[in-house]
Amino acid sequence: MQFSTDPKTLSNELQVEESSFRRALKRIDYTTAGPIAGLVFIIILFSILSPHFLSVNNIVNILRQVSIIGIMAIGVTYVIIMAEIDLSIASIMPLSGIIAGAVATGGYLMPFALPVWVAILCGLLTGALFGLMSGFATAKLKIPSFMATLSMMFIIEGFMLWFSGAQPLYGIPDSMQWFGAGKVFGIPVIVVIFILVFVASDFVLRKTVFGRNIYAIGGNEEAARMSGINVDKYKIWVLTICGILCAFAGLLMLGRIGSAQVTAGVGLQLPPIAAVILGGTSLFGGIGSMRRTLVGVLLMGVLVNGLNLLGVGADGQKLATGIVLIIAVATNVMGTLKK
Amino acid sequence: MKHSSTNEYLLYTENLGKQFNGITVLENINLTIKKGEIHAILGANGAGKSTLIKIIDGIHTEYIGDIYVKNQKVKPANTEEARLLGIGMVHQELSLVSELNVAENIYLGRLPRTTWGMVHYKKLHQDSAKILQELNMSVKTTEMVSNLSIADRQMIEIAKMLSMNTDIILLDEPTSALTENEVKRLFYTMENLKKQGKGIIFITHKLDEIYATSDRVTILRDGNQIDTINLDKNDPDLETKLISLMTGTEQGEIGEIYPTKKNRIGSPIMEVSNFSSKGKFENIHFQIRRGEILGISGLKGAGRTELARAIYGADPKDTGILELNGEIVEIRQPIDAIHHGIGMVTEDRKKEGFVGLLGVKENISLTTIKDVLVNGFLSRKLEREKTQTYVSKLKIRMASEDARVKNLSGGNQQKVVIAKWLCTDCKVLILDEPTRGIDVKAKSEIYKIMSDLAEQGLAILFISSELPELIAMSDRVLVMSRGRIVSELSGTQITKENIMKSTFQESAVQKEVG
Repeated sequence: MQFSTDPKTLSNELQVEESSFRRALKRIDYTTAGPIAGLVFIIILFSILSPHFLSVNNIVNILRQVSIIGIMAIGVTYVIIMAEIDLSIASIMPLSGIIAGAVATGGYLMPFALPVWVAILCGLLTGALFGLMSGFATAKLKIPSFMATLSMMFIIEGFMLWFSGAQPLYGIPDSMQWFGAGKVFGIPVIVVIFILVFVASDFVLRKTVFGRNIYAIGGNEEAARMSGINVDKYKIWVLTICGILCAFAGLLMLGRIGSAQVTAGVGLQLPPIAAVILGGTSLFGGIGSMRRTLVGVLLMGVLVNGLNLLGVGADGQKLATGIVLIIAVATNVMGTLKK
Repeated sequence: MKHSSTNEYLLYTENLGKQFNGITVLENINLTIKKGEIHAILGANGAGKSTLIKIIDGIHTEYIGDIYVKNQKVKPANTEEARLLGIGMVHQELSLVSELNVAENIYLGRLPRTTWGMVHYKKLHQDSAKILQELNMSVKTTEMVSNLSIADRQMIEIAKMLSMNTDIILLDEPTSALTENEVKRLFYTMENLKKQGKGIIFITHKLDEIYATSDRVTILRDGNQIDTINLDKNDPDLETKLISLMTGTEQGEIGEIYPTKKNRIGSPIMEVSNFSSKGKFENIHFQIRRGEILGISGLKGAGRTELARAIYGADPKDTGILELNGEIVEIRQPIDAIHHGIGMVTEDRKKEGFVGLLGVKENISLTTIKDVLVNGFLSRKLEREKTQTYVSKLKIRMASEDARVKNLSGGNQQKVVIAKWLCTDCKVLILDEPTRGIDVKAKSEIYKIMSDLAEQGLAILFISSELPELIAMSDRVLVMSRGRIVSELSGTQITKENIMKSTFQESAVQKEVG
C-alpha cells in the first residue's frame, strides 16, 4: 500500500492499518449480534427457571406459535428493507382465509364450492391483488406506503365485513386444514412451511438481483434510480410479494383454528413489524436480512412462551415485549446513527 | 489591517477566515461596510462569497479572525444573535412560511400580544402596513404568502428585516429569480434603504447589476480577498479589470495535477439537437465525438446540470432529439440512457451517486449486476474479483470490498461512483462536477482517469465550475448562460478570459450569435 503525505488520506490509511484485534472488534455488527445475544440470554434464563422450557414438545410449540407471525414478518421484511412499510398485513391475512374458505365450501356469497387447490389459489391471489394495489398507489401515485397501506387496511376490512357478514365460516375441508393443523414426521406442517418460506426468502434476498436491488432502493432510492434500477417496478413487486405471503399466513391460520374468522387478524398488524425491527433490521431501510427477522420472531416467541411457562399472564407478557422492543429499537437506532 | 477611522463602518472584519475539514475556503478577509453603502461581492463559484456572508449572518459559527459591528467585537452564534446585532440576510432560498399571511410572516416569532396574551391582530396589521408602505408595496397584509410572486416574497423578507431594525442587510443573489421589472423595483428599494443609512452587502454574478447599484466592490477568488475598489462608473476598463481580478492570471501549478492528454478525437458519437425545457434551458445544439472531452462552463443556474439530467433521462425535457451513432434514440429514464451506453456521474454524489449503506462491491455492481451472476444468482466471489480490478485500476482506498461507501473519503466515494460506470460498456460519460469537495490528490487521480478513458475512445461531457480544470482537461468548451449555449471555444481559444467574458457578457454575445 502506498502512503501519501496528505494528512487526510494518511489518517484513512492509518485506520486501515489498525491492529487486527481492534478491527475484528469493530467488524462486529452490534445490530446483528445484539438480538442473537438477547435470544441466547433468554433461552438460558428460561431453561434455568422452567424445567419444561427446553423439552422437544415446548420447542415445537414455540415454533408453531411463531410460524404465522413469522411468515408475515418475512413478507414485511422485504418491504422494510426497501424503506417502505405495510400496515395492511393483518387485514390481508384473515381475508385470504375467508376467501379461500368460501371458495372451498361454497359459503358466504359463493354460490357453489370449488376444489381445494382453486380455493388456495384464490386466497393467494387475493393477497397478491391487494398488495399490488398498495404497490401501485405507492409507486405510481406516489402515496407514501404508510398511508397507502393504511387505507388498504380499512378497505380490506370493509370488504371483509361485507363479504362475510361478520360471521365465522365452519366446515373447512380437512385437506385444507392440513396446512395449519397437520404433521409430517411429527413436525407440524405449519412449521415446515415457515422454514421453507424462510429459506427461500433468505436466498432471494442474498443471492438474487431482485434481493440486491431491494437493498439499493432502501439505501438510496435516487441513486438506485440513477443507476438504472426500475424503482417503481420493485415497489409494486415487493408489496405484492408481501401480500402473497400474508395471504399464505392466512391459509395457515385457517387450518390452525379450523374456521374462517373475520377476527383472525386482530392484534396482529404490528407484532410482525415489531419482530423485524427486534431482529435488527433498520427502520429506515437499506439494512437488514431474513436471518435477523428469524431471530426477532424467535425472540418474541420465546419471550412470550417462557413467561407463559412461568405463569406470567398476558399483561406481563405484553409489558415484557414492550420493554424488550424499546430496548431493541433504541440500540438499533443508535447503531444506525453512529455508522 | 488596522482601521484608522472605524467610526464610519457599520461592520468590519479583521482577517476573517474559515476552514472546512482542514481545507481553507476563506482567508484574511478584511471587509468594511459603511453607513449608506451598497457593497457588492464578486467572485466565481466557490470563491467564498456565500461562506463569507454566512459567517456574518451567524450560520457558520466556527471561523478565524474577528467581526466588529459598530466597533464592538461580536461573535454571532446563530442567526437570532445576528438579528439582534442588526444583521439580516435575504437567502437565495426564501425562508417564509407560505401558509401564513404577510403580516404574520413579517412578525413571525415576534407577534404583538394583547394584555390577555392573545395575538394583537390590529397592531400586527397596522405595523406591517406601515413597513410595507415604506417599501412602496401594495400587497395586503392579510394576503397569504403562497399567493405572492417570488419578487414580492423577497420584499416581504426585506420588510421583515426592517421590522427588526436591521442595519446591515445581506442579499445573496437576490435577482436570480426576478424579471427585469422586478429587478428594477428591487434596486429602487435598495437605493431607498441606502438613503436611510443602511449598509447593504450585495452578492451577484452579474456585472451590469453591480454597475447599476453598488458603491464599492470586493473581489474574492479562491477564498482570498483580491481587492476592494470604488466603482468608477466612467472607467472604460472597469469590466476588463474586474474580470481579470476575478479570474487571476497565475497558472503555475497546473502542470503537476493535470495529466498529459493523449486522447485522439474520432468520429461523432452523440448529437443533441433542439433540447429545451421551460425555465431550465433552451434550444441546445451540440455534438460530441469519440475520445473527446467536451467541457461545459457556466454559473450555477445556467442550466448545465439540468441539460445533462435531461440527456440522461433523469428529468423530463420539453423538446429535443438525441442521436447516438446517427440514430435517433428515445431516452425517458436513466435505464434507457444506460441501455444506449450513456452513463452519468451526478453533481450530488451522496444523494444520487452511491448507496452509502452498501459496500464498495455492491455499489460498483449497481449498474452491471448481471455481470456477476453465475447460473442466475449473485456470486460474491465474482463480484469481489470484479471489484478488485476497479479498486486497483482507480486506486480506491478502503478497508475492504465490503466497507460501507458512506465511510469512505469524498475522493474515494467519487471513484466508486466512476467505477460503477467503467464496468458498463458506456460510450458517453457525463461527469457533473466530478471533483467537487475532494482533495487535490484525488482530483488529480480523477483527471488521470478521465484522460485514460478519453484515450480509450470514450466521449466525456465534463461539467465543471472550476475553470482551471475545465481549461486543462477539455478539448472543447461550451459556455452556458441563462439556459443557452452562448459560445463554443476550442484549442487556444479556451482561456479563462474568454470563458469569463462569455459568461458575464452573455447579453452582448447573445446579440452576436443572433
